[in-house]
Amino acid sequence: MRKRDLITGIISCIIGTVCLTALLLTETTLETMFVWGTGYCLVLGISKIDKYRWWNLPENRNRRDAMLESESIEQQDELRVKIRDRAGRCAYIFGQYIICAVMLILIILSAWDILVNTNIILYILCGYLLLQLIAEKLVYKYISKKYE
Amino acid sequence: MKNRVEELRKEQGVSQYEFAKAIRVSRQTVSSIETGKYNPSLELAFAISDYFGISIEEIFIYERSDVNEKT
Repeated sequence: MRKRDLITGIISCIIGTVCLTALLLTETTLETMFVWGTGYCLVLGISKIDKYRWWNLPENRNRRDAMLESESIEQQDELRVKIRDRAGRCAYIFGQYIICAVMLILIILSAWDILVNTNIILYILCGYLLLQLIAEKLVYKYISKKYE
Repeated sequence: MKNRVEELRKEQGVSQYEFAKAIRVSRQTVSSIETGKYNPSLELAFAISDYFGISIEEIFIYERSDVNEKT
């Protein structure tokens, strides 16, 4: 395991401790959030630190090096990168279709008076759709500039 | 595009896993290249040619399509 995992573990533990302290010392309506914060961050932090300790034991060093190498190959493997990119593209298009379908359903339900006050949801969805399209164009421009 | 990767690898008596590790790709990539499902990048093609010690043209056989021949 990398140093980065240890740092993540320590930071998670610190956030968990802060949440626990806030939970014990204060009376707030955010109690549920602090309970979740404490549980999640402490469990995540302790497990990360323990993983780091275990992988860095001298008897596990060879296995760790082999695992890190195979992990690095998996990350950089060009076929995997291509598949990931294509999957991301499919998920993006699928998401856009879903948003359009939801908007259409909301419009129909609103027209039939089954749902009321749908305008705000429609504006948010429409804004999100536009943001995605603009972001796509901007990112495309930014990346294509690198190849000029 | 056809290739002789499988033939050359077997000639050397190397497993897909060992070959993949040597050229730093996954075993799935090697398998896909061998079955012709995936054409490697130029960089990977050079890595493969370096591994076998022969030129890219001797490993990858490009088949010109009708479209390419016209242009």
